[in-house]
Amino acid sequence: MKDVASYADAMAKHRGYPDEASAMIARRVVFLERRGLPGLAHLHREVLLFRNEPLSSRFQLRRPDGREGGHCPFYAGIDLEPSFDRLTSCTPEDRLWAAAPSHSLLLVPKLAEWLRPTGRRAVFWWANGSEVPGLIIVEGYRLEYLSKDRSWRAIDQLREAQHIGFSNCPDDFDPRPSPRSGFRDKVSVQLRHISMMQEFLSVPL
Amino acid sequence: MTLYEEIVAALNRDPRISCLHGALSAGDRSIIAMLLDTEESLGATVEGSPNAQFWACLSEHGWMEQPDGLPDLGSVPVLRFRLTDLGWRAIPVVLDMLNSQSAST
Repeated sequence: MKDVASYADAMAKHRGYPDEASAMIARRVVFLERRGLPGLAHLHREVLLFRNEPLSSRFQLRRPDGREGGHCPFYAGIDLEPSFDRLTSCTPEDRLWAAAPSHSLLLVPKLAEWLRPTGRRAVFWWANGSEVPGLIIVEGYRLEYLSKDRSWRAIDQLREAQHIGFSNCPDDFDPRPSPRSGFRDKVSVQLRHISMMQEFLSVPL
Repeated sequence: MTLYEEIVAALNRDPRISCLHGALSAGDRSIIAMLLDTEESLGATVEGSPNAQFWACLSEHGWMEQPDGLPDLGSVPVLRFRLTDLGWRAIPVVLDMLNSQSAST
């Protein structure tokens, strides 16, 4: 797990995030990886795809081409935080939508952190066009990933989601949530992570 | 009544929670934080210890429980506690409130 944290921290620092932000990014990547979600791969794609765009531009909701969304997922979390209460208070049928940052999975730990002192449980949705391929039920320390076709395809689609949605997760939500915490005690860096890192660090920014 | 409101009411109704938490060392407090980060959420402590008293109090509120059927460790009087499903959501709130109280006093 320390390796995963070190790689995430190094990737973020190499991209230009300040030390404190890099440590925060590493914590979020570990949170996802321990719960079986591909945090490191999404971070790698995030820092690689936008390596030529200044961070100050990545923090803007409006992209250089004029469209909204696809911005930095970490900054988007900070930006959305004042709205989390409103966003996560509506019913699942009336979920509220926001423009999706790039690799929105990386935003989920921020939502979990916000939920912790509230005791609440929320549903995080994503959409490509009119399709909603999956959802993640989030509590403070636990989460559960659910998709329509019971595969990981929806997580792949989350990389390029156009919108993310939020709603309350009532106790009688169907399917009944059974979120889990940290079910991977040991996540070690894999060969694909090492090649990712070498590829990314080999080119100076 | 929301879970948050229930927790506020419980803390006001039962001052033992705050007192027992106040008696915990930083090391004691770190154990329950670790329980929140593991799937089993199973912790062991010696009977009569500050953590045993605090966790027993949390169990009275339905946030922890003592699971049955675990092997005995011999002569050492060890007690085991686990978070309940409600506890998974409630305990982060309880700890946040108690830590805020500690910081403000």
